[in-house]
Amino acid sequence: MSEPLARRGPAARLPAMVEIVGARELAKTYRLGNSEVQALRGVTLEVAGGEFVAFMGPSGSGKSTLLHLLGGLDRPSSGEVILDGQAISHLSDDDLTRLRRDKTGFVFQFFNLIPTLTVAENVGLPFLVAGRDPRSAENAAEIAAVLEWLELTGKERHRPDELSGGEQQRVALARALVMRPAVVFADEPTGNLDFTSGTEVLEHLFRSCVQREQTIVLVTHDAKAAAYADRVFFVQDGRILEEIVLGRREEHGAKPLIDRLAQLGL
Amino acid sequence: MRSLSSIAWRSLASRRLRSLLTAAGIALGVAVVFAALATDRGVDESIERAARDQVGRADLRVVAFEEGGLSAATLAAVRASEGVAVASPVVEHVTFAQVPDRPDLGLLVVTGIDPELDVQVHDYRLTAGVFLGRDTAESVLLPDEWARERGIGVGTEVTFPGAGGEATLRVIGLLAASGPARAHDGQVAFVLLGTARSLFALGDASSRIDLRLTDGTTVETAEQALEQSLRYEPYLLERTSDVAAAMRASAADFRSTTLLLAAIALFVGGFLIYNTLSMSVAERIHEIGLLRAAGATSGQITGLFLLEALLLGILGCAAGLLGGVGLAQAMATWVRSTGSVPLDALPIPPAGAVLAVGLGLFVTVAAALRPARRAAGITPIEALRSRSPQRSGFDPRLRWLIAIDVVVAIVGITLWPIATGGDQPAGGLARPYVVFALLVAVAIASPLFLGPLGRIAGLPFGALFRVEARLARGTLVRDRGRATLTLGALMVGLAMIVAIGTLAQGARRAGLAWLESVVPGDLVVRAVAPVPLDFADDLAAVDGVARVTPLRPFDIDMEGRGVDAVAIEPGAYDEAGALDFIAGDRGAALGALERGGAIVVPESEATRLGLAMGTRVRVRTGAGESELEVAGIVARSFPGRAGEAVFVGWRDARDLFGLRDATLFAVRTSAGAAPATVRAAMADVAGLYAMQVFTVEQVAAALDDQLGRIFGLFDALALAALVVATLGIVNTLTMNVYERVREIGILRATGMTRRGVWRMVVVEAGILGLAGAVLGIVAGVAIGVTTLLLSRTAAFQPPLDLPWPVIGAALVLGVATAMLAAYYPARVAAGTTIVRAVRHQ
Repeated sequence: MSEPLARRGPAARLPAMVEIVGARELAKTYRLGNSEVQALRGVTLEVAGGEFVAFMGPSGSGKSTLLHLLGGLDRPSSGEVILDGQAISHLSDDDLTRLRRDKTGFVFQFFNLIPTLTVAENVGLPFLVAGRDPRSAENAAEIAAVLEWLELTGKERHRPDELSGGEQQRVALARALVMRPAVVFADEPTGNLDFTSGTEVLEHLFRSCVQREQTIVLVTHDAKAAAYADRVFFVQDGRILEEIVLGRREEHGAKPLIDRLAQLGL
Repeated sequence: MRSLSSIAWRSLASRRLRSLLTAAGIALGVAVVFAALATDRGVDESIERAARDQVGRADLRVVAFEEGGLSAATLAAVRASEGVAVASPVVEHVTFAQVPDRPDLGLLVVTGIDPELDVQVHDYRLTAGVFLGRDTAESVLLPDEWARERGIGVGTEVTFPGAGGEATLRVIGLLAASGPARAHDGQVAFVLLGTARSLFALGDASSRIDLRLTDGTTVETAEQALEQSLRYEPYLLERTSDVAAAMRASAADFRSTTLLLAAIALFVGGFLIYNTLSMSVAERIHEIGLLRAAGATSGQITGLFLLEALLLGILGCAAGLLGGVGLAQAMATWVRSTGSVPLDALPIPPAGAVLAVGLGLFVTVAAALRPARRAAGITPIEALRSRSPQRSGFDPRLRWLIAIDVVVAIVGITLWPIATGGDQPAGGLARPYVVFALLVAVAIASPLFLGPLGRIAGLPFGALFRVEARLARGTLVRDRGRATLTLGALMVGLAMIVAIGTLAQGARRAGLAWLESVVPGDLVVRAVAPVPLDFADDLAAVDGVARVTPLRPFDIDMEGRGVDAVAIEPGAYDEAGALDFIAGDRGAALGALERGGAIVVPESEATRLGLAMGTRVRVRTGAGESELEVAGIVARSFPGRAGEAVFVGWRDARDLFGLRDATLFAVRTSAGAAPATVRAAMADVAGLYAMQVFTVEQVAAALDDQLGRIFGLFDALALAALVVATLGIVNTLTMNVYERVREIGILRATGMTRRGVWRMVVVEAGILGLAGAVLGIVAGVAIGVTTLLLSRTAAFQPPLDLPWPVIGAALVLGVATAMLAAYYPARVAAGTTIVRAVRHQ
């Protein structure tokens, strides 16, 4: 694994930058049979460009719902989502889809690669969906560059079932990064991986933030994963209970975060 | 088991659309099988009835070979022959019936009988009036239905023209539609023997003699005795069993084709059921794991899925039987309209219903066996992981399914005669087996071609929908077994449509080639009864006529065998350029016919009789025997009773065989004269002798229409198989969507619109449809060509000609059917919720 680059001092916050994604009194209610479940209750937050934030919390806390709303995968019951300066909650389905295509990348727990496509074709999928030829010189160079960056050179012609779990998740990350989106949303990206593979993926996510100034929004229940973030939002019962600023750090040990959570009684 | 049955029922009810589609597929298969069985049984019973009506209680018939009929000396010899109890002479002759205010009531076969003798051989039933007697020389009996349709009753006077002059006869009785009154489709009139002989100037001749033998005399003994004593003129001996056999032979092709299409409907139904139940197992893998974890045995799980299949099968079979009755009636109506196969009232054969339901249930349960065993083998751990194993190579599911279908085909085809209560179609089983074998072979080989076929089929779609086609193409080979099952069903339906089209094209081309080759003119004038040769001059006097040539079909005894012949004017054929000579010089051959002492034979007869150029053959003539030399061999000739007719010049027809009249005239129109105009001008002249005038185009069109009706019925049955295949495509595509929920989720998350997802599924179906159509066309052409080659007889030599319009239609139909079937699965895919999809396990 490559050496981590030099960081600012510990617990130092990044200089204020332009908001890239934000929530304004965001709420989401689901209907389950005859009852209603309030998954989110009036969440407001901002994520700056180039930041690495994590939503952490127990199962059913609403953290994934928050990610899905911020990424335009679902619609809020009330409130607003701002993505790269545009309010998205009332866009039509097609407009929202195009916005997602241009502005976001996603990494999910179950990799979600297309089994009939090769690694290179999976990574080039956003180009294909956007109507751009993945085999053009420019796009092919982007694909090759991101594959090299994620240490997947030589695997271009492999199919997903020929890769390990960690490799598959890195391919999914490459797909999310290849079009240089405004935000990459990662929903429990290490949930289906062993410790070593999971650590590799988190390191790559962090490096993309540092080297490519990629904005990352991570959802996790694992403090060790959340410890990579600049800021951690602790979500419980559909609300943000606490915002913990860790700052950009060299080491990503979970102890400071765990201690802080303990102090807060979480 | 009670709790399992409620699970089975609830599972079917919760997937209503799929259950209904599957039951509909079974119902369609069972309906086609039952309709084919009922129609087949109906044809068989109609043939039996028609044969009984025709021969009555006669054990043997002596039939005149020549136009002159059987002489009084022959009749006396028959009566004196050993073993003959009753010998009833009969005269039959076609003419028109007329009443004063209605000059044309249509054609009738006037049958002259000896009433005292004939009632010992045939059963007549009167509905009104009295029967013929010794003093009823100026009386006639008519079929009740024929008479009532024309407003004729007892007491009406009807005029019949004949060679001996006109005869006006009084109707003294009406006959019920049974026995001899059903002969010639009920277009028959009965008069005294002497009346008929006088009307048609037949002297003391008879057309045939119906024999009843004494008790204890076998047909073989009687035949030997007759052959010893009958030496006066050529004759044919007909056993009554031969009559039914001849009718069965003429209906054999129709029956074997309906049998084949019924088997194919079930074959395709098997694909559908297998696919559906495989999908059910894959969808409920968690449920199965839970049941196993809770203690359900593998036997109970197997029983659960077999029970579901059985419930679907019962539902489908019940609907299929009901639908089959309606379909059978529709088929019967269509068959009757073609007039080519005898079919009266349609029976509802209980054995046929049992066989149709039995086959339907067997296919359903057998096709369900493997998915049920697969379900039983699922462990709780496998259920939790819930990943279907990747399949590659030749899927064992496919082998299993093909084995089921082969067994069904063999059992079904073998049990068919029991279910229909009749004989197997004469020589007809080989063809269905060959066709079935070809279909199975293509189905087995199809997985090998799936990859390349998918790539080729994806090209046209890729030109229009690059993104969707790229994503869709890979899906075809993702699960080869399922794709092959779906493709196979589509392939079978389209193959039958193309095969039927190839057969129809061959038959049409044969008909047209025959017309062009053997009719030296633009018009055909047909006489009911022979007319004097000089009538040709009256026809030639009509405006726009260039030449009229008489033609006369007749029978000759050649080297002791009955052979069909036709008298022609060689000069007319030479002038028109008709007849395709394949051996001998045209000019020399026709010149030899003109001079006499020669014949020109069609290729089929030359092969059958072992004749070559220059062969001299002995023929029986009025004066004894003569020799004729084969002067030429042609490709085609007029069809006759036993084969194609040999050509004899009019000189020999007159001098050797005593022919003085013609029944057909070929008319060549002048340059610039339209055949239709000349036909209209000729109508009055032709009407003098109750003749009908047709343009060659009209004859071709009538032939085309008849063929179109027969083959149209087969096309409809093949379409039924295609409908079943379409139901299978809906199921397959829905399953593909279900299995790719997460992929669809990531595509949507990555930026594919709902419309894009919809297009992807539809394009996938289009590629599947195009691949299936290509396979189906290849298989269909192979089957059509093979069947044509197997169908060739002496008299029927259809050329091999590909039906390009049908092939094009099959291509479009395959793609359109598949894309239409994709509508619902595409909607499901497009409506997928992204969040639920990406988390789907």
